[in-house]
Amino acid sequence: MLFSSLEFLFAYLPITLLVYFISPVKFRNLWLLLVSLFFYGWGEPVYVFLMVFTIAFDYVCGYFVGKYRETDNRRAKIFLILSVVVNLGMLGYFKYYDFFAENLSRLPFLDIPTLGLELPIGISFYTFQIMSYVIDVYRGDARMQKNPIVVGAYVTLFPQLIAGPIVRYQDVDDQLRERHESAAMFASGIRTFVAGLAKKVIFANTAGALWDEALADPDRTIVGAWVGLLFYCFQIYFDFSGYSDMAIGLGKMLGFRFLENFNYPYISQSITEFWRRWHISLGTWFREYVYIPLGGNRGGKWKMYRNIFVVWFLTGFWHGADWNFIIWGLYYFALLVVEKTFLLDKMKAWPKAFRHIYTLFFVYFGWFIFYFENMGEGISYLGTMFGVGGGGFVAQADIYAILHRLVFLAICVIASLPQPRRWFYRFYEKSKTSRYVTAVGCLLVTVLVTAYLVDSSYNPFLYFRF
Amino acid sequence: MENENKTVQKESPKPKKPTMQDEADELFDLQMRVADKAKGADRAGIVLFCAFIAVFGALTLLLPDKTFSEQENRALQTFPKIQSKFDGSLIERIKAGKFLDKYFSGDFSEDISDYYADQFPARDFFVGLKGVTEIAMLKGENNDVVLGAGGYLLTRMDNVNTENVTKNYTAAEEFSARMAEENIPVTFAAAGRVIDVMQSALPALFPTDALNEPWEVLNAAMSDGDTMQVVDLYTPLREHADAGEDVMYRTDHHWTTYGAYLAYVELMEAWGMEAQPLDAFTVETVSNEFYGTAWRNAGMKWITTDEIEYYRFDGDEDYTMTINDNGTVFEGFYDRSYLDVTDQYSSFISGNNAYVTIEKNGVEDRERLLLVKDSFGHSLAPFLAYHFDLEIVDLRYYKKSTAALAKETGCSRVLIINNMDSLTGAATLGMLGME
Repeated sequence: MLFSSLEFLFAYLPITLLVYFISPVKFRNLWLLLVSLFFYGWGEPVYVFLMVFTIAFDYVCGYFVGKYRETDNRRAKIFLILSVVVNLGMLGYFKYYDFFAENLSRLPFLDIPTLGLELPIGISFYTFQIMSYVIDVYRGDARMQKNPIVVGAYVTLFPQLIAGPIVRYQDVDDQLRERHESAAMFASGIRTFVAGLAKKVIFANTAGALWDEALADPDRTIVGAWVGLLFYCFQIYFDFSGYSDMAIGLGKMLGFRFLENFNYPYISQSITEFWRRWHISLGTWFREYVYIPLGGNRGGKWKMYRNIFVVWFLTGFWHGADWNFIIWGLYYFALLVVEKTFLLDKMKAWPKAFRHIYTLFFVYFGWFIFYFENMGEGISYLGTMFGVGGGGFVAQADIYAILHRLVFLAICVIASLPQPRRWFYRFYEKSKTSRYVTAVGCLLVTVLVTAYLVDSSYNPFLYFRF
Repeated sequence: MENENKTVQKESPKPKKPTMQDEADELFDLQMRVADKAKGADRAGIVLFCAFIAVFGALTLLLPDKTFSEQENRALQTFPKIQSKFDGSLIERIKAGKFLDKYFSGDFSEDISDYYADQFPARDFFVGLKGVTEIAMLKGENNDVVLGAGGYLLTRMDNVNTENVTKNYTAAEEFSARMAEENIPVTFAAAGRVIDVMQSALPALFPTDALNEPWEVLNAAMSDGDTMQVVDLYTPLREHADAGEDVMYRTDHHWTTYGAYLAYVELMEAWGMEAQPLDAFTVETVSNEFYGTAWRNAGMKWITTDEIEYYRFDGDEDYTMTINDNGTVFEGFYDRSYLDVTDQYSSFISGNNAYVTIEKNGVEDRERLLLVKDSFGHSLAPFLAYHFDLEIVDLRYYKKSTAALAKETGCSRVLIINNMDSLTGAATLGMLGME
């Protein structure tokens, strides 16, 4: 189910919240587990069985890891490895099997049939999430959870089940056992949720439709191609950060505090900074569970570069089972290494605006690599960006389209900056009246989003492929 | 690393936490800090939000389902079934694989999605709100409908299939060559779409290249040896539109009755016949509340309605119009029952039917015209009926041989009339090839 759908907003959400808050506290996790499984199975109920298996399996692994970790580390380790292997195995099977089959079949002596499996929604996210439970228990960062319902609720928690943020078990361990829902938290949750909803429905969907227009244009001009890709940059940011905001907001309504997942990445002054601001929970996960276990930056320069390489190869590959994602990951590896070795120091002398332009330029082309799974289409698009095979420099249609989207573009730019949120809360803090105004404002935005949902049929979620 | 947050004098050591979290935390703390003072407003916010989603959610389910949308002219999704029909006990049902089968196949969830979109309460209000917002953002259009000067709603026609134009023209020409053997002349008339004819109402800089493309393709399809007479109904109507005359509806995709009259004059001239002068007709305004197709898509509810006019002439009720599809018979050309519903344009010759005959009462041996048309032919037919008895077919629905019909009914002339939207939309005229 999509957050940005009428059935979620007007059926699933009110029923979920109503039963949650009239239930006694001890049943709330159970209710969350049930509704989350229903949420997960919406549209593809078969994979609920896979999910239930995953939960049961990792519950058992977690149980034994917790039981033995102080007395018999070897046994604990066996269960840890078992869990990691099975989880990655399932992820590999469902997500990467066809990729390997296809590419290995290019070898003359091999012919491996592909399976064409439908990717279980959110498998990349929940696999990482559940692995963090067993690993955290093994490392002693979190206590073993005896109650399978709590483990189930942690993995399936519908706010972040499908597209993150990837919540580490140690961050919500206490909240799963005991949390304090409050009116203040709930109201704060509504504000965050509604902001995310607007980002998704009004900004991301509109920008996405414009990007699709650019892609479909047979006489794409140079200007049209550049502006089209710009809209994609906005689409992917508003889509994904909007989803994270909705998840964080829903979490707050239910009494959870999730960590931020996006921190205005498009204001970054370097690629290094960009990746500290973009999809923070994924970066944290790879740092905690890959980079540091590999040795991090201890053990010399070359080992560090190797570890960074592994992390970025995996980050790319995690985003999709295709070459362009691997290239995208390695593109950032190269940029980050260049920055780390010398550029960051040099950049300190650059004017701020120039650093910003430099960063956005590479991020912009990063999204180009990210988008085109089909190399042929990508090359042809790149061609039109530089005047090869397109419809010239600029057409009247571009000028018309750009003029009529200037306001939308301006709003997109402003909405990518941190200031509006600060202004909002400064206003909120100001007086009693101002707080009532924000309450009504949230309702109005919800009504507006509803209008877009009722009217529109264009509503994809980019991160559903992961 | 990030030292901008020095203003926050939080001394608590949190070494592991990413610093990026600080601002979000700070804002969250702010909200919690004022929580006591904000109690009333927070509660109001909760009540407003929850009441909105709960009430509209409940209303969607509780209000009786609408089965058909007049405005959009389509069937609506009613509350879907979660399992298929099955006679037998639960056990038998499970054995037959029919237990919650639609849920497991995913059909149910898809239908629920449509259900909420179709049955949502106050749907029109929300559609209108989106329209206003889009225009307020200066986008100049909504759902592919451009807001033109003078309140004209112009549906965009980008990325049309121009191959269909060639296919349709070629099919018509082949048909004409066959009819030439029977000495039945064929005329091919192409009418402009609203956005073609009303280019004077388009916003500045609007790209018109894409509009001209299918016309260029049509011209390219013609050749000197063609047997068919071609009449351009686009250029003359556009001249009248440029001169400020209402030749097209502002809210619909059809020409007005006046526009149809201008087309009639063009056709009569092409045939070397005398058209009736404008003052031979008495204009009867039968509706001043006509909301056309573009209006329904646009969500621009402030655009005022169109009028529908009938150009009446003496004796125009002494005609018998037979809808051969179902045998319904009308006196005259109009089916006024459509004036009570949204699709008012269909009151001309009773809308979309496969095959209609119009004959003047008590006059034998009038010249008979076979009219092959899309819906632009509907408001044109009454003018033609002044001169001809009419056999009218719509090849979207008429699945028999047009050539055979022409011969059987003794038609002495064939007029194929389409607007460019039909010519690009599908290769419908291919049906003319039927023996």
